[in-house]
Amino acid sequence: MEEAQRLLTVSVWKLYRCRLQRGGLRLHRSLQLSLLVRAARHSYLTARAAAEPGPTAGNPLGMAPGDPHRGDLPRTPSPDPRSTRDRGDPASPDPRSTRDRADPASPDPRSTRDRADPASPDPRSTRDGEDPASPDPRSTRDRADPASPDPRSTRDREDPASPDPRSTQGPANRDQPQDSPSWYRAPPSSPRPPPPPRDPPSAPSVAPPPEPASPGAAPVARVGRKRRSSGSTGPGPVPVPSKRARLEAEEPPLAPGPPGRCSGPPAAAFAFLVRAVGAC
Amino acid sequence: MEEDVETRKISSSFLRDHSYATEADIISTVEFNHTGELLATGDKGGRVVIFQREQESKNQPHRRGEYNVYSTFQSHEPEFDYLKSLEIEEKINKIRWLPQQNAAYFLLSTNDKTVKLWKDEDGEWRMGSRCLRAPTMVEPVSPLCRVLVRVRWGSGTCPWVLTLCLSSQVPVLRPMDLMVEATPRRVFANAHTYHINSISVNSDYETYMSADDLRINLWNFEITNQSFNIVDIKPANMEELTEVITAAEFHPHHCNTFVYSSSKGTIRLCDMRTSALCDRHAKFFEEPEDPSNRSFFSEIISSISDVKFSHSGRYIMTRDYLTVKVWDLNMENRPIETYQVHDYLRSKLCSLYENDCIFDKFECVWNGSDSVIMTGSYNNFFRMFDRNTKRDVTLEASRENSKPRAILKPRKVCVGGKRRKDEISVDSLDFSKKILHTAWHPAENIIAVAATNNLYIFQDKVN
Repeated sequence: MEEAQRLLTVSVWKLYRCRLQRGGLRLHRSLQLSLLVRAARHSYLTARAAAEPGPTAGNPLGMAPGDPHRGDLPRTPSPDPRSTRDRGDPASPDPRSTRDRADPASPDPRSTRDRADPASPDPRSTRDGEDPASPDPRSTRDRADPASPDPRSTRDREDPASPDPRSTQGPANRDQPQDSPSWYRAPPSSPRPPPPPRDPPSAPSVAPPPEPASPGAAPVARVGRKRRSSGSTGPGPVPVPSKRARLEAEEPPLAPGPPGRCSGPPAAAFAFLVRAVGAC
Repeated sequence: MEEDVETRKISSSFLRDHSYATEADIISTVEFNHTGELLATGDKGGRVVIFQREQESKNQPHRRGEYNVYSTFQSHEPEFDYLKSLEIEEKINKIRWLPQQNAAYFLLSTNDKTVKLWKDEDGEWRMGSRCLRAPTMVEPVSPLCRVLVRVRWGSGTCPWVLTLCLSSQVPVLRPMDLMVEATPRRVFANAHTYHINSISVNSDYETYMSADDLRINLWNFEITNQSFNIVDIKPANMEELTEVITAAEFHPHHCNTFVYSSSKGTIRLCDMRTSALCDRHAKFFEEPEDPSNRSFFSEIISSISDVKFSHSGRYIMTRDYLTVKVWDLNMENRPIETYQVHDYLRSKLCSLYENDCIFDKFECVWNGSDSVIMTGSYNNFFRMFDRNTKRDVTLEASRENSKPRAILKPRKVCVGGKRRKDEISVDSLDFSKKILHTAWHPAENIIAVAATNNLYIFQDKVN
């Protein structure tokens, strides 16, 4: 249990550092780290559930009743505590996203924040798979491209003599973390469509994501003014902090020390770990 | 093996500070060409250094076949993807030689995003239509006198050129500093979203493939603005991603066959004749995991870091973190041979994870006859396994322990108990000294071993 806890702490920091290294996020490294985080978390939760046969025994996550993340428990129970949050998706490396998918009505401001960050090099972007009902999104995407006689050819529409990696017309744009589906080849000047919500396949995906409601604050309609996400008018135009700054301001980072030195309750620590994993 | 020559890397002369120059000198790939005459190395600074083997001379028999620096050029530069706000490293991930069909040499070099084709004509790495090297030049004769002088460029000569004489000295030949200014013949860009990890030249000599984490593209050497995607394992939902492509290689003789390895420890053999998109494999090589060795790090250490076809084309060799495995193409359920490279590290996986060494990607190579395989390890150790005699040897690439033309002494790691005099304990291993890249001469017993920023070339002892 201590080893799993230490591994989790180290892994989260490695995931965080991955984003800062030169060359960008390494998909292979991130995948390996996330798999280890998942395994360590499973081991930790299993050991904790077995060690504490108390009120939280029925709760595979071992969370207190007042835990803000308690509402994120999935609807479908499963012997695997991880899969209860993943809704039966054991292959997901991102527990945060599955938690969002499990409860689309949860007040999670991160969902709107993430989509507002188009430059985020998040390899787990779901924007490529916006049509889960499609048997082969890749084939539909390719067929939807009338400009290319061979849908699989990665044609460079820019000047062939120019080795410009920043081409906006190249095939690499298929995987850009754009708001639109990947097969939507909009010109650069066209406005972006609204981001799709991260709903499970059975849920309707046409509705926009719910506004995160602050506790005790009722949304107020302002005629002629843009309604803020918090439901209030706000003091006025203020600079929006970066995603990293917001995460760092929310909770202090846990120092990678020997096991047993994690500050705060384990539930809160795991909440931070899970959130940090999702931030990468 | 006898250490014949030790070649130092050319120190950085580009615009970098000291600390960055040190990391830029780290060798990231080593490759012999098909004849073994040339040896190419790439480093993290985006430079390619070509070594050429000297012709054997009766006057100097002790300098038999030494490798000297032949050419150096900057293959890739750091770039910035403004769309993703990401920096693209200039590190050379792979170099692959093209078979020599005429007097010219061709090689492919790649970084994370762009593959480039370089051509060498008449000993000069060509920059478009301009020559590159001017090792000799004739100085002018009399003042203010326009004369035609013949400028010698490398091994050949250029046509007569006009120079303005500015001195009164007798014309003398003096060696000029080597000037290398290069642009590639072909640039294959904008086809990979993820980081390129492999390139492989097809046996038809007309196409090659480049592989990144999720896709493999097929290129024609003459077409740079278009490639065909032949493998795509990207899931519709990236949250369902479970494995990535780690290496890929074409069959040495069958132009329709290639293999690619995954981070799950599996190898897929694909036949391009079956379909244009080879998402369905023709053969699937996987060994069942030993449940007794299951740990938190099982998935990490099972990731295959390199895959190589044997020269015969019948076998595949794969390298994961702790082992080297040889597979028969005709048997998919398990490898025919498994070699433990450094099994003593199995108990140290937690520490290796914390210092990131567990993510090191070791390469493996065959010898010319496919009878011996070689791979690297830590503490500047590298290991050779003889497939016929089942013997193995551990050698060290170190200047402190090796003198020129001295025979390398086998090393041994003490795994427990009483340590002998010439053994080294596991705890004493220096994990910062690692040999990730090695190369074996295609015909002779000459190996090139890259140890951080040093290149060692060892040769079999000849009486």
